[in-house]
Amino acid sequence: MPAKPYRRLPGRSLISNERKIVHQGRQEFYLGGDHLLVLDRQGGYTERYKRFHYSDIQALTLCPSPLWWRRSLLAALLAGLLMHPVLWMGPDWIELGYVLFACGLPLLLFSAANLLPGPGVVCKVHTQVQTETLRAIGRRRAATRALALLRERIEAAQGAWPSESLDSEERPGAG
Amino acid sequence: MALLDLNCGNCGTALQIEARQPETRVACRRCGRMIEALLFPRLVQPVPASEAAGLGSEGEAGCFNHPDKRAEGVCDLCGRFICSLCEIDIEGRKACPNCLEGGRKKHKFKDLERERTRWDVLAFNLALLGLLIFYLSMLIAPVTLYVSLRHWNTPLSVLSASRWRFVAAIALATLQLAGWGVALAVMLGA
Repeated sequence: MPAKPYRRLPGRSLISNERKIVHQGRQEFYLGGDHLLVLDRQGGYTERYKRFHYSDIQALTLCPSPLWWRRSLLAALLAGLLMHPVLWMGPDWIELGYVLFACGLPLLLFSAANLLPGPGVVCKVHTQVQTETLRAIGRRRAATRALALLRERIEAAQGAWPSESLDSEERPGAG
Repeated sequence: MALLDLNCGNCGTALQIEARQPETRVACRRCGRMIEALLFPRLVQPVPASEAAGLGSEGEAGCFNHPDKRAEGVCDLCGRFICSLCEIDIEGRKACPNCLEGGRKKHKFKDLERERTRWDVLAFNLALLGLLIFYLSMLIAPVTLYVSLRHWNTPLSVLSASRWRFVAAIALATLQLAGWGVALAVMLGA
């Protein structure tokens, strides 16, 4: 049986428009033989591909993002807003209490589920001509695993870091 | 010293990182968030500009597209002599620009494809829709069959070339049509 040409990396994300309101599809990414394949599934039936050859990648950057806890906080606040009247309602209003609780519970669950994967990050891949945000890597845990695999491939393609670029204090035996 | 230009992922501030070592951290001067960067040798060793193709001399084979340039290789697809300007490495083969353009149009080079439509997923989902809304299946099943057979040879996703969804869609659509055939036969018989 032939080996699969692509290996899926951890991380998956919804693709939003510029204002992050409308979800347009889903992004995943894969390790190929000589390139990183970024796959955007759009509308369910279209796949768009972007390829970054390992030999062209100059850098990968990770920046912490506060979006993850802001979303959780917002969802928890809304859930609290919807659910707190239930505590004060008398038996006459029990039906309304059930409705409010049913509305608030999904928000509370979303808030908790959003916190579970850990801190959010923004990961970017830089080449000489472009910088692309890897939206599929949205969390630190997934980023650590994915970047370790990616780094291995890039270093295999580009070789070791040139010693003349190191700082003098970094260079072994430098006075 | 090579510099990497980047924007803070949080506030968008433009920053620069000096390529001193492969793993670097820099704090955003606006929001203070610590940005981690993994740098690779390509940053300090840019891609060398391609050398000009050597001029040909009498008795040497010339490039098919540039007769005054010396041929450096042969196109693996059409066999024409090509100079180093025309030689394009793609999927482990050497191709000339003409073959590359032709191959791109005919979907011969997977690495050049930027977009594909998943006709197999569409056909399979149509077949499932026909099962869910059986009254509509009289219309949906022929469409499913058409999509499956029309796009049987269309390249699928670059990740997987399996056609099991087409096979399942054809089987389900055929069953749905057979069901309608039996129902019609029973109605007419009654």
